[in-house]
Amino acid sequence: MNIRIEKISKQFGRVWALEEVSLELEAGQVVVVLGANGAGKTTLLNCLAAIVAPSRGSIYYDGEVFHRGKLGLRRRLMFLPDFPMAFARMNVLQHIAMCVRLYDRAQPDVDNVAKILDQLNILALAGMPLGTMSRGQLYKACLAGLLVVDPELWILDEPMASGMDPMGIAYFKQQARSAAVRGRTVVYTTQILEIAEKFSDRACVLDHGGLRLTGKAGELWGGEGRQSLEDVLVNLRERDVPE
Amino acid sequence: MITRLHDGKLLRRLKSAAKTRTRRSGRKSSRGRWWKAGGGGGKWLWLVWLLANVARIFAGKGGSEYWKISLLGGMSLAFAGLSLSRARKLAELLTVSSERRVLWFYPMADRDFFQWATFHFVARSTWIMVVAGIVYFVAGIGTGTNGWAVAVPGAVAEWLVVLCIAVAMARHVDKLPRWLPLGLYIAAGLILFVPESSGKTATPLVSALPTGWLHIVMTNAAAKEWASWISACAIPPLGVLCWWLLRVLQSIYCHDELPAIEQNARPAEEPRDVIEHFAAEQVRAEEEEAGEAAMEAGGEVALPVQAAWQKQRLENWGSEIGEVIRQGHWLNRWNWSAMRPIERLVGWCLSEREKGEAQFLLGPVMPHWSNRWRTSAIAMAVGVAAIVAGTRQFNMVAVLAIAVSIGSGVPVLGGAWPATNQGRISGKLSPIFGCYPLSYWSAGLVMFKANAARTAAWLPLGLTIGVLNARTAHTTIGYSCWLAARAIILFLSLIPILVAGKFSKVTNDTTSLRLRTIPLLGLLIIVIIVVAILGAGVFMASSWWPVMFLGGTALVSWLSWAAYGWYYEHAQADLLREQT
Repeated sequence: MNIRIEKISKQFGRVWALEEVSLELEAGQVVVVLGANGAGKTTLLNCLAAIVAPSRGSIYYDGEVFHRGKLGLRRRLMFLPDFPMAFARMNVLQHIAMCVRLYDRAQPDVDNVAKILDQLNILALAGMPLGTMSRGQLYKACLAGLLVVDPELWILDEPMASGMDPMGIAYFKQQARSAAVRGRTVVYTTQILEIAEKFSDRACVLDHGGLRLTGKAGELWGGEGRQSLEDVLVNLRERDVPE
Repeated sequence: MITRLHDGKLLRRLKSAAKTRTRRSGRKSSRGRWWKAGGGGGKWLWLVWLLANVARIFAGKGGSEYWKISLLGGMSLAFAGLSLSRARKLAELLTVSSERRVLWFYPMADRDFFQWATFHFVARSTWIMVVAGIVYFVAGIGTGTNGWAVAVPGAVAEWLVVLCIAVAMARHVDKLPRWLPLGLYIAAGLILFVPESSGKTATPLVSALPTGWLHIVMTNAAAKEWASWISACAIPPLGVLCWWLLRVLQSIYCHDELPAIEQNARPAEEPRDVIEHFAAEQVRAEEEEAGEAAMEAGGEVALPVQAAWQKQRLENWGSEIGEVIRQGHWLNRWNWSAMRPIERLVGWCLSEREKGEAQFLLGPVMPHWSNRWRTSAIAMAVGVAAIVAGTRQFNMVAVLAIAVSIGSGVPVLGGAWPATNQGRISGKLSPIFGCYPLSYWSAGLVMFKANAARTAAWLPLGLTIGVLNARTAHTTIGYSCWLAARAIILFLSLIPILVAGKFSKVTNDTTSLRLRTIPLLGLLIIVIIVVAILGAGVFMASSWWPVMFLGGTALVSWLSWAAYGWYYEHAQADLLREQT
């Protein structure tokens, strides 16, 4: 799914959480959104998922303007916030079945579902109510829903700081890479630059609501004699510090 | 000495430094707005009670001596309930409150925390004096020339009595039933409406409550003149008693004798040696298993944790849960036609797609609308029996029974839809449905159909009220039933507005006062006025006009629903609300 963000701004009270952010993302990429706390990363993801309506500007998915009423477009994306939204009394299987129904997917391959749950190490917990799970287990359960539905656009807020164990994170990265190869777009936020460097095709750096930098791997960071993402962010910060 | 969590001067200096630096860097800063500061919690019960009294005055029942006694009796009951709920509040503040949990992680002595917590507890209880003063005013106590001399010490004494009981009971709240305070509040409301003969019987019992003696002093003809002196003289001993009780509680709190509420929250403790023995046994068993697994794998050494994890994975593949997944029954939709009658009726009204959406909106638990209808029917039967067996008038029991019947049988506030419940996204509240593709229009239609089917199923019970009204008001059954039917159809026509409200309550459309919210609020006020006028017309007009008014109400209701739907989808309403 191609994404075009045109000058979107979002105001909360007196604060502009996003200011005139414009961006174009091609399908089949893993995109990392970076920035300090309060830079507007989560607000951008919330706008992409229609949780938040931009105060100005528009978002286009495959050239079609997107808003909350576009159910067809909303069925092509799935958003996992930092604390995933789910019914506390549902179990993992009920949650997956609910996602399949809401996203109008055909009956999934049950062996594949069992495999996903096993790879995430929550197969034994498949009948457990989500409300009784730890944060990492809950995230895995909702991630399993996303993997089964396999939408065209994956939007994930801080998946690396979601409480998932290293095996879970490794499996997520493997699946996201494979999804990008299949033409899916994966947009996620993180504060861990080492992961961002290795696990992204493109980075967007937000600062005080504005898009400060965007570029592909090898252009913005990496490559011969080029700087790391950490250098990029530190340089950006130093330019802002008053004399 | 008052323990403070922060130094005011330091805070001001930090604020000033932060402001200077923000200004130098050219960034914008956000500021909180003073009018958005959170208000009090459960004081609405008090408000309802006071409004009930005001209503009584306007109904012309005020002024009599018995009314004054019943009002103060209600106050005694309410303050007894308040004392118990404040005791629970104090116990929670000292043991499981967010402040306590946070401050466990900072080097703060228990004594300091206790002093800080109790100071805040006492300071936040001062509104009790104001409420007592208002009740005195309503009762006509303290309105004379020297009235303030009775009202002021009386209100202070009431506050101190409540505090004393709260502090004394804080350690024992787990022994009290949770419903007791609410029961006392309800009793306080009921005592205002009981007939004088029954009320006089209850007066001695009510006077025996902790604040009852003050009210005896204020209403007793012999003691009235001394009321101000008695109240004033009671303040010092009550103050000393409160201080002493706080000291006792502090000494218990600071000597690691946990209050009851925290003991209750902990699992039952077993003797330490039993636990240690059990843990050692488990570790030894795990080590043996890991060693055996390593031997079987050709002598490769595996750590116990790894062995356990691998074992779990292996077990998972062949386990029962794996089999359940492969059978695929968990993917099946609800079978609406196998449910109880009302659920079946709703299922019959919904299309296949709508059934899926209804299943999402209702969450994991199947609806119990038929059970609720049965409860409603039982309550209605009690109401009918109370009228037939009693004075053939609408009495208190009948009114309560009918209220229960309406509450359980009719989706009064638009029904319960768990998908509209809120969870937290990055520190703010958002509805569960926000993260999933759910259409306002189809979800609204599902809610409407379910609510309409439930209301239609309740129609026979509603018409029973019409028949009862005919018997008690001596009108014809036809006219009375037509009146009840009008009320039910009016409710049906208002369901679209209630459904729109279900969506509105999870957005920030009216919480942040902005220029663009003014038209929305204006429209809302206009809709309320128009609906109120049309609703009044439904009952006041005659001939065919009620039908016209009902049609008008339905039209306005559906138009409002559609207008809000457009706003919800296109305008700037976020599915995020600030946590209050």
